[in-house]
Amino acid sequence: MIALPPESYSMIFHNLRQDYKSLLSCVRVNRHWCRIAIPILWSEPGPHFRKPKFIGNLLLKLNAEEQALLIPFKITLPKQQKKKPTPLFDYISYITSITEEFYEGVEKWLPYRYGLNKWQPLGIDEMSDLYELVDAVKCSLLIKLLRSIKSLKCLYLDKVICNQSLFEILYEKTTVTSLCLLDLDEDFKYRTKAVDVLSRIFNMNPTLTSLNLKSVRLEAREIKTLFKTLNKNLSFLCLYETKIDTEEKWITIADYLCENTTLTFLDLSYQKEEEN
Amino acid sequence: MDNGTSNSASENETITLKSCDGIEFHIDARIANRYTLLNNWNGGESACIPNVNGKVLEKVLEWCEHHINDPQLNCGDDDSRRRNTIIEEWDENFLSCDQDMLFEIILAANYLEIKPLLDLGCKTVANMMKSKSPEEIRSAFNIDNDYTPEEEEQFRKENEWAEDY
Repeated sequence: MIALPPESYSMIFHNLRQDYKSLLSCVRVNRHWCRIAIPILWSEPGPHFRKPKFIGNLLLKLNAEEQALLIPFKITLPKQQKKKPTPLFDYISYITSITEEFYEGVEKWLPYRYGLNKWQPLGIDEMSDLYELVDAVKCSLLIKLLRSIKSLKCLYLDKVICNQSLFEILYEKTTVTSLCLLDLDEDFKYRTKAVDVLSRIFNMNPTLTSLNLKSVRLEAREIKTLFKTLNKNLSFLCLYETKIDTEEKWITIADYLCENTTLTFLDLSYQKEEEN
Repeated sequence: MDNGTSNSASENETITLKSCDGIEFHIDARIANRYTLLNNWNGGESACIPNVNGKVLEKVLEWCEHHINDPQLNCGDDDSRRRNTIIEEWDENFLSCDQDMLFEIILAANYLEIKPLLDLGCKTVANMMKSKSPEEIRSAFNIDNDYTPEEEEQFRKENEWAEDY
C-alpha cells in the first residue's frame, strides 16, 4: 500500500467518526493507524455517554480528590479489576464534546447500578437525596473530564454549573465553541450565580460561536449581564422560552443583534408571558 | 450569481504544466487560477510539477476540468462539504480506479492543495473501510499487523464500548 501522510489518514478517519465500530476496526489495524484514529474515536462519545457501562468506566478513573465529593453519600464505586494494565492511551484527554447524553448516562447509571445488584445498594430513601447524589456524581465526573480534556469544543451544562468545585476548572477552559445551558427555572435558587458563571465563561472563551439557553428564564438584569460579555461573532443563538417579556429585555437583545453580523440561526420563540 | 470562477484568466487562455517525468499538459488557465499551488507556479508559459508523475497528473487535471464550473466554497462550506458523505456518480466512477492510483491521487491532491479532490479521495477510502473487521481492512489494503496479541486484546478491551453501537 502506498503510504499517505498522517493528515490524510486523519481526514479518512474523520469520515468515520460517527461510525464507531468501523473506526475501532481502524484502531486495531496496526500501531500507526491506532495513534491517528484513537483521538478521533474518543473525540465525540455522543450516544455512548448514555451507557451506564461507559459512565461506570469513567468513574473508575476518578482520583481520591474527585471521589471526595461522593463521600457524604457513602457511595461505593465499582472496583478496578486486579492487575489491570496501565491504559495504552490517556483516552479521556481526547474527548472534545460533553453533551446532554453524559447527564442522561449518569442518571441511568445509578438505577443500573442498583438494579443489577452488582455492588452495594444505595441505602437512600428520599428522592431529594437521590437528586443530590446524581448531581454529586455528575460533578465528580465533570471535574475529571474537564481536568483531563486537552481541547474542549462543546460543553453542555445544567444546574451543576453552580457547584463551587467546578468553577475554577470551568474558567480554565478557553477553547469552547459551543455552549449549552438548559432548563434553569425561576425557582432555582442559584440562578443568579449561574448567570455570573456563564458570563465569566463567555469572557474566557472568545471563540464561542454557538449558544443555547433554551428554557433558562432570565431577568432583565441577567440578560444585560450576559449580553454585555457575549461574543459578537455568534453564528447560533437559541433563546427559546427564556422569558423575554418586557421592552427592556427586548431592547437588550435587539442591541446585541444589531452588533452581530455573523448569526445564521436565531430562535426567539415561545416567550410565554408575552404570548399570553 | 458568482460561480467562484471569476478571476483574471479567460476561457481561451492556456498554460502548460509539466509532470515530474516530463509529460506536458496544456490546461485551461482558469484551473491553475482556482487552486493555490497551481496558481503559484503560473508565472510563465509553463510550470513543472515535481512529485507528481504524468499518469497521476492527467487524472488530477481530468477531475479539475470536470469541476471547473463548480462554485468555489469558503471555509465554512468546506467543513459542511467534509461532513457530507454523499459522493456524486461522476466522482464515484472517476475514483473507481485501482487502489494505488487512488492513493496517488490523494497524495497529489494533498501536495497540490486541491481540497475538494482530497476530501473526495479520503471519503472514498473511508467508504472502503466501512463495516469491515480489522483483518478485512488489513487484507484490503495489504497492511501488516504489528501488534502483539496481548496489545491487540488490550486495545479491544479498552475500547470495547465502541463495538456495540
